[in-house]
Amino acid sequence: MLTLSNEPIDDRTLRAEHHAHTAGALVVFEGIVRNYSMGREVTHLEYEATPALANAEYECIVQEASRHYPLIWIRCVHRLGLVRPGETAIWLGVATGHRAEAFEACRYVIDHIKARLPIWKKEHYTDGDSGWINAP
Amino acid sequence: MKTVHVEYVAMIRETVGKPHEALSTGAEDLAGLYADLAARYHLPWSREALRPALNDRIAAWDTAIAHGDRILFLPPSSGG
Repeated sequence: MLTLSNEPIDDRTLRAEHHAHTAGALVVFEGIVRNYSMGREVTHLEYEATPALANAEYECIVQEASRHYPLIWIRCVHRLGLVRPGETAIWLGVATGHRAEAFEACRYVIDHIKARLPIWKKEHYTDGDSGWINAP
Repeated sequence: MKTVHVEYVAMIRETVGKPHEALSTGAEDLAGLYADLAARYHLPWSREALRPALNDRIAAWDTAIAHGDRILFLPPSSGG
């Protein structure tokens, strides 16, 4: 399940959602906002998404991943709105039977999320300037 | 002519200057509609840089459009 949230991510609550005793491995990836980008000091990021499309694309990615890896549990939360350096922008947890496939599945899903989920990030800098990331 | 609802997001919204609009169009498909909008709003992005979405699903550029459709043009993702 994907949640898009304007509130800070509570990793303890998310971790507590995982109960499957058949899973021997849980890999968690947290994407954290840096205070610099391309040599510029970042004050905050601003995220926006198209929720219906983001949820549909996330489900496609999970279905693809489940064809490659024996997923037991997967959970993702992505922040929207204003996010400051040090805060978690994305939390992704992937549980499988064994650690190797958990690492690989987590990598697969986060890479596809970053490439395909319709979510956009605008960086704001200390000099007052701002810019969209990956602007074509 | 048909009326479609177009939503603008991220850098496209900032360039167009509004988040959405209802448009009367004679375009046959998503590519034709984007060509019209790119000319109207001086959008600098080529079709290759974007993905179109139709009624909450990512679609192909040659997908036909119909009266009442909801359409978005998605810039490259930058989540995470």
